[in-house]
Amino acid sequence: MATTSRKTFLLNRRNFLQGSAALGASVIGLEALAACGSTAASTPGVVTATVNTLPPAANAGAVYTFNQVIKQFEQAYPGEKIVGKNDPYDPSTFFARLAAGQAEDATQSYFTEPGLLISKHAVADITSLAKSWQYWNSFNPGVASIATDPASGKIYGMPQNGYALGIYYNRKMFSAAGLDPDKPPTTWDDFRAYAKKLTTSSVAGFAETSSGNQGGWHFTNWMYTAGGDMQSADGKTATFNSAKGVSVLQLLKEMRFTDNSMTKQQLFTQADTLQLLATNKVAMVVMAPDQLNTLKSQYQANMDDFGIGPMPQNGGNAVLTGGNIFVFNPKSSKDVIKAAFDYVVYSNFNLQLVESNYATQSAAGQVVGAPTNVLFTGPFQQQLNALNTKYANVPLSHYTTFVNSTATLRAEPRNQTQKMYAALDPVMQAVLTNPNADPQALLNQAAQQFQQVLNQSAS
Amino acid sequence: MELFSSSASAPPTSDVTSRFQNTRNSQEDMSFSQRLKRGMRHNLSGYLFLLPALLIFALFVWYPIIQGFIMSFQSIDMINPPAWVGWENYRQVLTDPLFAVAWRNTLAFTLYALLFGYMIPVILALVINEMRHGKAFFRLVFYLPVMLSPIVTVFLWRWIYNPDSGLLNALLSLVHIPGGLWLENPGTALPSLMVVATWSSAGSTMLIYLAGLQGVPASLYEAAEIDGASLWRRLWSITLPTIRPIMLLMLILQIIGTMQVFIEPFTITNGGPVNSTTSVLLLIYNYAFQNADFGGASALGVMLFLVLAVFALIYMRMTNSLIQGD
Repeated sequence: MATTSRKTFLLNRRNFLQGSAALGASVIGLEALAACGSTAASTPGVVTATVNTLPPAANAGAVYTFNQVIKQFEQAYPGEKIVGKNDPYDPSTFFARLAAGQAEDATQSYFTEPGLLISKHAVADITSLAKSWQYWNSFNPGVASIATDPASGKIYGMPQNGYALGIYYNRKMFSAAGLDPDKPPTTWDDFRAYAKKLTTSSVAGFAETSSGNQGGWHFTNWMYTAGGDMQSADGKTATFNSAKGVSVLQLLKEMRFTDNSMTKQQLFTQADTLQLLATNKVAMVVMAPDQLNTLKSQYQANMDDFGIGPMPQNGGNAVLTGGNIFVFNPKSSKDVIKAAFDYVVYSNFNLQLVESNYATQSAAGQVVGAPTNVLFTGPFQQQLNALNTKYANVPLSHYTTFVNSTATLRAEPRNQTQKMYAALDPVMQAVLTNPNADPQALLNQAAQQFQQVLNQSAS
Repeated sequence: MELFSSSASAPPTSDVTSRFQNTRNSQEDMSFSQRLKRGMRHNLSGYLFLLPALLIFALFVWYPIIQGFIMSFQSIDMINPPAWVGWENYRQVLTDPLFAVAWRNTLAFTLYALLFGYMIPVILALVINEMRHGKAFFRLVFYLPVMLSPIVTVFLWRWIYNPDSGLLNALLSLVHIPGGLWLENPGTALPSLMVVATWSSAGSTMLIYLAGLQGVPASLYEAAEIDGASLWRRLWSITLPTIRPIMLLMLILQIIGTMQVFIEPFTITNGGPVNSTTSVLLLIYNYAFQNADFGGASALGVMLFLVLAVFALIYMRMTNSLIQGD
């Protein structure tokens, strides 16, 4: 009797354990299946496209403006719906997400990306959509070329805003050093002299990036101001180890080790140099105008203290452009891409909308008036500029020298750009950390290394 | 006569053994499939409990490993269908000038970690073990860095190493030693990172050694004291031999771990200055996520795997011999 009741108890317990284990395994299995695919139900006749530019929830004013724009778009374009996601572009995860089907239909990316994206077929061909837009031909040729594949002439993206790199400087430090805050340096010699004058025991005159491929990026910028070329016109030869390239490195090296007007700490990215500027540790940095918003909203900086000037020139009268460009998911259907394209054009270039946006942004405390729009030439650009000026909530007079600059806008060299920047990062780092660095030898070595990359990509 | 002979030829049986022979629990009576079924039935709940873990391992560990091997022979960018390229990825990786640099840096880092980072936890454990008061306090103090999140560690050490205004140079200037460029000098960047790595992981290894030291019988120490052995003699003849097996295990684990160093080079110096802190794993990351060259990344990953497999085999040999008793 005792044995059988114990056996029954054992069987019950074992059955219970078996049952719960089986249940657990099946629940996990079901969850895994459910997570695999979740498709939103779609109403027939209505196309829904996703966009990655929803501002972060912490910025309530911007989120409100964003959603208002979507409402107005959906009224103007019945049958097209837009869903926004807060998902800033990240070059290191984009390819994996695209493969996993998690990339949005329209992704805001940077000017530095389309070359690689086009070569990897990671972006949709929107040639017919782009050419049918009335203002496509108003684009500044340098900007339009970024969205185009030079080999086929096909268009793969929609530039959203473009800017030239410039110098952000601290006007208060200028005044304290006896320099006119309305006259930022325009030549290399002036720039070097100013940096020396601005350096005190707690403030460095200048800080430069040298990490995360941004050393090579800023080297290219300086190279253009010297009138040099990074690659041959056909993109087959590396040409940055010229005398002009050496002059760039020589300038930086002398500022660092002879004048001691740069920070000792190096290996910066743009985020680091902006922080140094915002916290009054550095007087001048090379920066893009679209960072004004970060300066104001993240660092709560007093915008009256800062000015933007053009890149100091040394014979090149040119500057590197940067900007944002929308690219479209090659896996999305044509209708969805068209909806996304319509939204991008409407939200960025519809003049009434731009005006009402500026008004709302200004009221919500966002920066309006940053000199970021150098996309177009001709009457369309003038109309955009007028709106910018009308609603600006930053001291535009602090940026006049930058806006009035007549330097040519040059796009980045097309071929293997990121690898070129990666090859130049160590060169910048060496020159900024080693007083015995030999610029010519470093450039020759980097050019040799990069030339191999170019040769391999051509084969 | 016949009775005796018949009973003599049969094996001696008692009540108990005959009962065993007659039930189905007898091994000789059951066939292989019957034994298998019985084993499965007994262990079914055990297998079911293992099933989720097996599924997760298969999906997240074994499948990616096999995929990695396959991808190392393909040209793959995650968007277009992969193309078979044979040994091309390996050839490209081997001819990359950064290949030699990354291996040299990684081996240098491992060597620095052995010379400096390996003995520190041992010494800390020995010292703390000998303390009479304050053991718990010092255990906590040395374990705190392990609990810090990596991002906090990065910010902290970037500030310490800052050549303009950092803690290290400030302390050195107090004793009139000129400060240096720690992370900015290609010669000192890697050892500086090794200090950070040691600081953030010594605590956990120290606790393992402390646990091992508890296994030393106190009677041995007492006997040695009676015989007049000094502190050093006791350490050398009693303590170290007792924790020698743990030390050997930690040695192999440390080599395997430090050869995969990634966090410090990636977050603090991003491979610089001038590629002096580019490790093999950082190079793999750059191939995959800067160049979208997943084939090349997989090829280098396979090479790293083969090198580490050698050490892992040594480790397995050692743990086997320890389990069986040396």
